[in-house]
Amino acid sequence: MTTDQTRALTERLAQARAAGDAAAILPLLTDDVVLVVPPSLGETDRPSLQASDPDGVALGLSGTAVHAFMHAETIRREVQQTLVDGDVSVQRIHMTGEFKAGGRYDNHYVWVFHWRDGRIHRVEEYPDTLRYAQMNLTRVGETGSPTS
Amino acid sequence: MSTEQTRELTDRLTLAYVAGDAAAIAALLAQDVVHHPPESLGAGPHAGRAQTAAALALTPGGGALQAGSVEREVALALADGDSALVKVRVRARTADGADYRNEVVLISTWRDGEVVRIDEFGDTLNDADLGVVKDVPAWP
Repeated sequence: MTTDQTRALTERLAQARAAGDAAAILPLLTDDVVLVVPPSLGETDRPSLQASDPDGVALGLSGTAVHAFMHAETIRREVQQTLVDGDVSVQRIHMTGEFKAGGRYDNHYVWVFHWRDGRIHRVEEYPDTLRYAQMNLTRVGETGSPTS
Repeated sequence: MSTEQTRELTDRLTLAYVAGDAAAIAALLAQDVVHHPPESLGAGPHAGRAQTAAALALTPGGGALQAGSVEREVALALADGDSALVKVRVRARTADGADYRNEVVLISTWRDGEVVRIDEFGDTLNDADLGVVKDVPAWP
């Protein structure tokens, strides 16, 4: 894919994500798409954060799974930087919101999207994972394992 | 800056980073550069050439990793205009002798041939689990 093609599709993806629209994200994913999260999150009880099927990845990218424990109307995802080079695109995002149980969510992410023939076949998510422990979403020593 | 200029300079920065060479890193940084490590570590941002170069040369873990054990391998590199991303796989031994692995993502923003901003990402919970980060700051 050319950089311009990838850039146009990345913008389409960003619009679908901003709308929380999993149905609009789904056509942008290959049948064998995978969502890869850092290893310290790989054994949690939040499987929506890691998926290897298009529906699960679309749900993860839509950001709607967090509505179970966050007030949806408070969630903000600010795209702070977008990079596109050939068949790879990147977005740096700052996400904030309010927990239903009280307290504020605040985290920074990098998302790396690998495209093939107009669709994403691999998504890599890089949040500040220790922040989850600081916000009591997990605990230090509970899930960690070295990267394979 | 053009994408190709950024790509060429980022390759130089990456070589310096992989080698842990603070002087070579500093030579590519603007005087007013700001380095944003993961906020959870409570260690930044680092302002200025000297602080940023020192932080990047030590990343990750500083003295928590055995001297001479750190190996860095570039897994992904891309550039777009005046911005670039590099993903580096890191392997090392912790001070306790455990196998340490992580992936570090550096997004650099360039101006007139120098880096003015670096945003760093990594699996910080993994670092805490392995004792590489020992004093976890409270938040907020």
